[in-house]
Amino acid sequence: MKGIVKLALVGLVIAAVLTILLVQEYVSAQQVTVNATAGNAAPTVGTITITPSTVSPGTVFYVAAQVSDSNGKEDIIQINVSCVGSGGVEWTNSWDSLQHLNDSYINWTSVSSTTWLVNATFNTSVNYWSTKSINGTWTCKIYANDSSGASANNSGTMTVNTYAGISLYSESCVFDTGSPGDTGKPWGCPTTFNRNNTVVHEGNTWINVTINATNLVGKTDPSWFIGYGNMTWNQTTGEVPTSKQGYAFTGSSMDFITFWGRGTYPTSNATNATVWLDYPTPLYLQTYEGNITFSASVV
Amino acid sequence: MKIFNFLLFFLLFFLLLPRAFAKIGIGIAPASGSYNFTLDGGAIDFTVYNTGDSDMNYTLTISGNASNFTTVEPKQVEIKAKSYGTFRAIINPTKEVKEGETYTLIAIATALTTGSIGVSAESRITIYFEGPRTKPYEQPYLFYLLLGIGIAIILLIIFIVYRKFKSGKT
Repeated sequence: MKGIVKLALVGLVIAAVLTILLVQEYVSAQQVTVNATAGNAAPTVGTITITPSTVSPGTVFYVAAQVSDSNGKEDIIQINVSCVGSGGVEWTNSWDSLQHLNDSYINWTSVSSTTWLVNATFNTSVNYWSTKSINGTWTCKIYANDSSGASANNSGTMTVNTYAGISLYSESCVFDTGSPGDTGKPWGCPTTFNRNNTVVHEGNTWINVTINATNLVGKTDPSWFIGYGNMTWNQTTGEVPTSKQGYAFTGSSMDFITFWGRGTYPTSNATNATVWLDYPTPLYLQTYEGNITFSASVV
Repeated sequence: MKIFNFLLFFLLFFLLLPRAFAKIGIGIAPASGSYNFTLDGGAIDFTVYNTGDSDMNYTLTISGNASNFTTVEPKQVEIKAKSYGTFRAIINPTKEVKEGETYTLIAIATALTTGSIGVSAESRITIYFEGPRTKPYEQPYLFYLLLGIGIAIILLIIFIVYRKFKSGKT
């Protein structure tokens, strides 16, 4: 009887050991299965750093972040970066929407086996980043995609400064020759060989432009001069009037154009300036020179 | 007379022709905005742009009631065509400036053109002094220079008077 009990006990011990081993095998088999389904961890994008945080339009800036994937950094196969200003639409590539689509302007630097430091450079040689890019708050995002199609993104903001600027097609204009007493002789601006000097809005917000003139002083005999009041200016579009129309210079800044918008992408707003000269009498026959200055400021 | 005018026209034309085809342009950023400083002061960097076709020299001049304590470095910058340069306005408030006061700084960038058309761009900045001075006030170099000259003149006068007094005695 005792032998049977002992045998039963030994059998129970063996059965218990076998049960434990089988359970462990089952559990470890389950763990293998779980590991297999967890293989495609999505990437993560860390804090976005934008340098400088306040940037003047058209100057270089950088957008950087650490991008990680627990499956290993090689699993990250694509980085896209976008920056969008007020009113801009992402991925439209315009003054208000800049982008780098996994291109050579995105620098990848290894940080660890699972992490890249990505740094995107924005400058005027790529995209449409220009002095006309809108001022205010811009949002930049870095997108990371892995080989399994999983993706992640993070965003940061920067401030783009206001910019007031203009350009003129001709640096020099020459009035038609005339005799003392002749009136309404228009200037000629050699770039376009016509009576207009084109003024272009180069800014990124509403601006005012003023105009001012100095006397035209004789080059040979400076004691002779033509007063600024002998010149009349006007903002012109298309054909220039055959006779002078506009405003005589006063020696102070005068509004040339006010509340001037920058235009709609891709067109910058532009207008023309024409100036007419009345030759006073008497007048010493010589070359006279002076300056007409255009000045831009934010509204 | 007409022939003379004709010749004058060509003279003018050819004088101006070498640069006449050049586009000229200017811009400034920030063109507006507000800055907060403590009474220790600080700096504002202005980006000035040459949007013209030729390399050109540009200056930045300061006006407004903040001009009393603002200097600009450098005085002049040559900026390549289609590029930009930087001017720094250094804000060093005088003893008269108080915490909580607001000032206006007007910075005007000007292209030093050789043609008959001039361009400039204006920036208007508001400066607010939000905090106290944390470092001792440093007098401007000019103050020490004038102080030194003043002391030298006084010493010279004393020396002359002393010599006259001495020679009179003998």
